[in-house]
Amino acid sequence: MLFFRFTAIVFAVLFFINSSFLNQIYSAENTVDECFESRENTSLLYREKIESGKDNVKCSEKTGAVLWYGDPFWNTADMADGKINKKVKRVMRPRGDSLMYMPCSSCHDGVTVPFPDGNEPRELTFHQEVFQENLEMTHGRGRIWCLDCHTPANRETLIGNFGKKISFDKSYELCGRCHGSTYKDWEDGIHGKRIGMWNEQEKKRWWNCTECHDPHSVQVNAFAPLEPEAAPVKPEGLSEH
Amino acid sequence: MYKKETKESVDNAERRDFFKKVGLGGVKAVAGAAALFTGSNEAEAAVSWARWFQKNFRLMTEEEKDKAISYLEKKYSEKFEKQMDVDKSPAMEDVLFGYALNIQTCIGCRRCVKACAEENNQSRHDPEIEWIRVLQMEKGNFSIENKGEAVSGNTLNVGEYAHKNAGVTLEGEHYYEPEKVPEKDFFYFPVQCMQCENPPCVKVCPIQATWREPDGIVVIDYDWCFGCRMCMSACPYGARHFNWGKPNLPKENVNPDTHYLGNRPRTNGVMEKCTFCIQRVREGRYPACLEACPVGARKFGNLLDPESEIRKILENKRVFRSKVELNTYPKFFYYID
Amino acid sequence: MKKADERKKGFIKDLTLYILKGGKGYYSLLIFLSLVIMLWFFGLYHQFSKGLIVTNLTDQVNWGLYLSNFTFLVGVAAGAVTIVFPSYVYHHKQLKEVAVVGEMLAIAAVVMCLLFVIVHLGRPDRLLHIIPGIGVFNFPASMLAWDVLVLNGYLILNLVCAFYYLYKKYKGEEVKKSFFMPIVYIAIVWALSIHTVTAFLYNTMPARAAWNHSILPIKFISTAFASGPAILIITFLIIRKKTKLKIGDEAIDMLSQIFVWCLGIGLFLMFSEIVTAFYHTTEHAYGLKYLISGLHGYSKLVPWYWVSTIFMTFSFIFLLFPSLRKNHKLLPIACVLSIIGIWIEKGLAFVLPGFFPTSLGEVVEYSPSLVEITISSGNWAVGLFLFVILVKGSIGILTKEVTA
Repeated sequence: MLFFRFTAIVFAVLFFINSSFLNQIYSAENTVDECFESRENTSLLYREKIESGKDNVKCSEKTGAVLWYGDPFWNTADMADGKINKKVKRVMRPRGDSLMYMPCSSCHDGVTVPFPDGNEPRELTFHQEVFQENLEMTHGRGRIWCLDCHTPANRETLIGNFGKKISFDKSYELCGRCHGSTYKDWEDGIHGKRIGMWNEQEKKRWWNCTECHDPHSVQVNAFAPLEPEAAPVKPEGLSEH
Repeated sequence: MYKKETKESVDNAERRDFFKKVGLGGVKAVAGAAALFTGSNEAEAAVSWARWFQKNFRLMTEEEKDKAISYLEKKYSEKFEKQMDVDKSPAMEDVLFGYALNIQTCIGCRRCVKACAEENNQSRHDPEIEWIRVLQMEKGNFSIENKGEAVSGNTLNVGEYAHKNAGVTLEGEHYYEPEKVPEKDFFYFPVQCMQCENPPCVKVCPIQATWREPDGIVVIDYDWCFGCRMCMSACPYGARHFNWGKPNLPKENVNPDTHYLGNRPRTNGVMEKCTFCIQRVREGRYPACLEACPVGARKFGNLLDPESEIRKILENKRVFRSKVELNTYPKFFYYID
Repeated sequence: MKKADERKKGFIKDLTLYILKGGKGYYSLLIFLSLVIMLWFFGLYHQFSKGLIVTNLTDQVNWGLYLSNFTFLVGVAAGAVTIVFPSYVYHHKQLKEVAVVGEMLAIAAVVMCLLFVIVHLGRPDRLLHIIPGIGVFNFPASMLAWDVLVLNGYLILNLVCAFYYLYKKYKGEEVKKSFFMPIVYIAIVWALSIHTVTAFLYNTMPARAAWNHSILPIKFISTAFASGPAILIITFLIIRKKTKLKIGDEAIDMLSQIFVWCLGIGLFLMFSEIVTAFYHTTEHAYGLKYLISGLHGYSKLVPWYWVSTIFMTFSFIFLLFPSLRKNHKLLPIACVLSIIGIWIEKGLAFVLPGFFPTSLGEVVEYSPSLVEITISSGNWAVGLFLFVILVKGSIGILTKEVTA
């Protein structure tokens, strides 16, 4: 009978042990402040609070990549146009401010740096980081050179069809001159990243080509392999075989 | 006679004592278990009786839904110390959601998996629940070094490659974590709920806790499900997940914008799965996995709108679906460029 | 009116008093079972407070020890028909005298099944959700809904059959055939249905290739009609030895004949499965491959499979010889071996291969945790406890020690 009393006491003790010790709060406040959207060192942005107290983005603790957008249209500007689909409500992140050497005309004014004759590949005294190997640009594998895309007399614009000038913010129009089928897919929303509203008539943030593909060294930096996020936790019973 | 009676009465007394103790212990055990079960956590201790009789969401009137929702908002706001919203928006008219994933482009970075966890309030550990699973598929290993013993003689399969697997391992690798992705000899295949039009999971649920909504999303009523896991076994895509223990969701990571049938915080012992981010798509926004993908491999839209990107993909790209022979009619398409 | 009520109260009171009387052996068995039940309460507390994370179940293998035992026990419950059928349809006199013991086995087995389902659920507190009227009953689409219906119906049928019969015997009257016989016939057909529906629960899921074949209901029923009689044979041999109830040799012989032929059919079906699966091994056969020789290096279940197959084959061959069948010293050995064999073959060695590989090609092993083993043992102890006291009561009435 003593055994039964003992068991009853054991039970009583156990009933008062709450199971809450198991719910250790796994503190995982998002602490990453500088994140990138596509690949590292491009499309950087900073985490901050927006209206309604939400974060503008949530980033990965492991890689620093942006995982989640609180406001998909944060820091974007209206870019609606497009001959193909006039109804599109397109916003994009303006490029101008993030370009390193802007304004280009501070050097390329015809005086400090003269406007060149012709478009032959030659040794450069500046902008060497654009090239992988001497006199051969990776983009096009040696078949194109600077002034095939950049307006000789106004380096803040790019060369468009009909002789029109394209601003850096709309550089996709230039890419589309050669990469037509990709450009059509991009306009349809099939190529590349778009966030925002799913209805075709609603507002979306589009990604400019150059936000993912480096226009000078496309094959090298265009979606070079990057660090993946963590694998799922292995279940018990899965051993190394 | 007398001795026997005394022994008998002593035996009887011992038996009564024994049964009393067992009975008392049993009652204590049951009561204790019940108490712990219903009220072990601070905020959950205030369970109102009405909650026990809450109906299946599909059968509730609007007033009942509102009542359930206001209770949930109060409970969640207390627990997570921020204002939580629980939505009940119905399906939109003339909308049938479809999803497409470009396996030519997918690099296997798993940002979609983690974004989904952030958006949908998934348990972070014990158990770790992830609604998307990315498989790493081998491209095929046809190297001369792989030849085996030559099979020869009086047999119909001869040569060094007889009875080998023609270079490909059929099952995908789940737990890859290399330094960089994509790795050279692999491609990637993310899997999540296919939102089938003929869902096997809906058919087997004994209490209709899961059903297909008019806009094509298969949903679960987390307050109705009792965790029998029939649906988990019936799903051919491994898309359904179970809360084995109390979900561990730190309050810093909670997403306060929720839907009753979507990403509101779940409890112990119920099923959950991808809902195409029902809380976002019914407000017109893209799902979280799509927005996270850095290469734009994921596409989504209304299958009934001929101008949508998903329809353009179905028309112009080479599209296939997973396990079609099972006649589940999934609405999650894979395509290559 | 008053007399009938008093009689009914008398029935229950007399039965209870008789059940409480017993010798050392009886009480030590009950005390042992009670100790296991105490551990059971502890296990239940653990599981109900923390959830199913205390088991070793995972997303990859999400049905385990509980449903394995459930499947086996539904078979045992259905196996009770092997005593009812010959008794009432073929008027086997000696079996008819003890048919009520079979019904008690069915009752205890169904109670255990219900317990196993309850502990398998993630939220057993929501059990009311399945009751038609209060909850939502997904009938006829969901096989589990069918199973709930047939199992509970079978429990009620057996309770009515057994206790009506005992009550009439207690009063010294004959059963009213117009009431009793239809219920018995329904119970016979119903017994087949419970195990068929349980088989349909498994084999109607194309996602689980190892389960998705049409021989499953036949295999289930044949092994059920082997395990049920085996348990009853052992029970009868114990009853013969320890109590005053007389059980004829012919009763035991009939049961052992049913046992051996049904075991034979089961073995033949297993053989057929193996040939079909391995002539050209597709991925659908990987579950069976896991059992027979392991898969991708995982082989925890291989020894269990071979033990089960060898035990069943040996029992079958052994029992083919009438002289061995009638040897009541060797017969229980064959019974025990095949009960163990069938418990493995219809239990873990059936449920687990359904998850090998998973829908996404993973191979994850499972072996029950201590909590699962504690709770399962406790469920068995509850069932055995119930069976023992019900049989004790029945014996009291059958031997006319308990009368009005």
